[in-house]
Amino acid sequence: MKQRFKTCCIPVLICCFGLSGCGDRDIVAETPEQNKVGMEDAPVIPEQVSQDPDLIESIAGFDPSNAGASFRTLHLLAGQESKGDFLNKTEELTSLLSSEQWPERFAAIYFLGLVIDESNAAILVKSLGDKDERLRVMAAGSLIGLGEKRSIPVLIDAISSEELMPFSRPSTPLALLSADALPHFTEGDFELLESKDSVSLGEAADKWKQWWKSKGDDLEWAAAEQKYK
Amino acid sequence: MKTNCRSLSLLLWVLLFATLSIPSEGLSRVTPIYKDGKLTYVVQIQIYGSYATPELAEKWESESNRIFNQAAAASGNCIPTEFEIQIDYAGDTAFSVDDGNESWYVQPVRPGQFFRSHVKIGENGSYSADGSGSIASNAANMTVVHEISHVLGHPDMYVDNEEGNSEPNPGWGDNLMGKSEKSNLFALWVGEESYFDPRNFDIFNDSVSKELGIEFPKCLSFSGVIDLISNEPSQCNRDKIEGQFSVSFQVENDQFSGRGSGSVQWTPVSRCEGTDYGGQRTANGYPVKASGWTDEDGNLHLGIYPQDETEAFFTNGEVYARGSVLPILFEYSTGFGAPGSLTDFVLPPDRQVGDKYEFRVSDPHHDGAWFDGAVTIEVAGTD
Repeated sequence: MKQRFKTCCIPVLICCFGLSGCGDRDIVAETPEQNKVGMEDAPVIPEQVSQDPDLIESIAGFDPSNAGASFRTLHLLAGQESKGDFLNKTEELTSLLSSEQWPERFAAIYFLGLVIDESNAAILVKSLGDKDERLRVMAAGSLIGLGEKRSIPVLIDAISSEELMPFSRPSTPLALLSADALPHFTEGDFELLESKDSVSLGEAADKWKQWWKSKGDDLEWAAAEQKYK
Repeated sequence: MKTNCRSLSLLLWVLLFATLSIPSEGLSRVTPIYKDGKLTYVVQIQIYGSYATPELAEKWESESNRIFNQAAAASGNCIPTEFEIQIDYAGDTAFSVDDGNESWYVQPVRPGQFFRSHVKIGENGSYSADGSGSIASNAANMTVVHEISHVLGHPDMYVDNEEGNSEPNPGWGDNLMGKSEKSNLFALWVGEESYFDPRNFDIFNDSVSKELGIEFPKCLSFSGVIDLISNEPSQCNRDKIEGQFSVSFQVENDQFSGRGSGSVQWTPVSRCEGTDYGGQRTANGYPVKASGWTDEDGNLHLGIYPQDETEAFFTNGEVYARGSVLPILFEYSTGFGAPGSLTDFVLPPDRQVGDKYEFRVSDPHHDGAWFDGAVTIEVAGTD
């Protein structure tokens, strides 16, 4: 912080001193605008742009060949949606979740995963049945921590998958998302995290399926503990 | 008088601002210090957001320093390079987002949720004009290192295809900035770290060189291939020794100093019944150091010093040879002129990039065994 103070303030102080001594205010316009955003008013959103992009257009315009820019836009929109404004556009968003265009469905699920909470998670439930396994798992990964237990069998099925999450860097197996979520939000484990080859992973998947079959109907979300019991 | 005072005020302001402020946009995030032939990158990053914590900042700082510095030490890059990654916790909001700091928003990510971290990279592989990014709260170490590499001016070495799978640029499939193979599922599962190589450090240095106008010393690179067979009278214990190494020198006033890396695989290729040749341990991935000098005729003497020991053993565990791989070989060889711990490869003064020089070994020695093969050295580059 000391260096920052020197950088920003000393030139300004010298400049002000010079000005007051000379009584010439014309030079004020030449003072560089340093540190415009201070501790008090810094935005929580990661980036600022001069014009806010439109939510629906941005999701529909998700461009896989320019994924970095498309993700930045979605993150910006998610930061701005902290007030829950997206709920005014549920019809359009629901339509995008059903789009025949894969990138539109991907972007819609990704965006909703960032902004939904327990009170409005239902909007994403239909994506648990998406025809693309990777999108089903992305939706499930977003929903399992919000009390939507229909996400659990989707994640259990993904344990045996060799698919990778689209656009993940480093490349992330769907099974890894399952291994991250299932033991965390349930009281199960079944050596899932310890699995180091496809055989032990398959055995773990079988145990999880048996567990779901015997316990699934009775599971309830304990919000205070953030666990299914 | 009024005009003079105004001019003086302006002059003072300009002088002080020029001295104390950052020299150009973005550079306060990366400060390269080049001194005594060594390069140190100081990278300053702040993390903020409700999921940012001092502990997270400390963890990412510690792990990224470990990974960057281990990679730099092993890279064989001709300019010794160190990294001082400083990651500070800023709080719920950033100190500032436009004073040249690299500010990363820590995105809350629940277990199982997918989030793609990113930072902005500037045009032409240089620093971004507004350092900012979003990093998942549960980001893997390699994700953090990948994003810091962008701060250092390194572009992605992969492209995303229409299906969302990333494809590494040709030749970058094993590199931290390009790796995306689907084949090593369990390497991904256990979080196996992917790697830097000397190209990454060249890109960092190019970025800094362009941005700051620093001129680094020229580098002279060589690659070597070892291909040897050993044998002994019974024909029972034969060894095939294959390896490669690369060395890169800083060249200043015809003096050379450099480092390199390489590996040697030492494999038994046949056994007689009743013999119990066991094999060889710890010969993979050993680094080499190198030095060089030119003699009065302009010949370049390339000296290679292996840094890691290996041992050859019988199946009962008894070790019959121990030491650095090249000295073990050259103890039996007079083919390289300087047997022992230093190998001295002499390259003529008219060498050109792409030229290959073969150093034959065909050396019977006292116990009736011999080596036969060659070390081939290629002039890989002059800059």
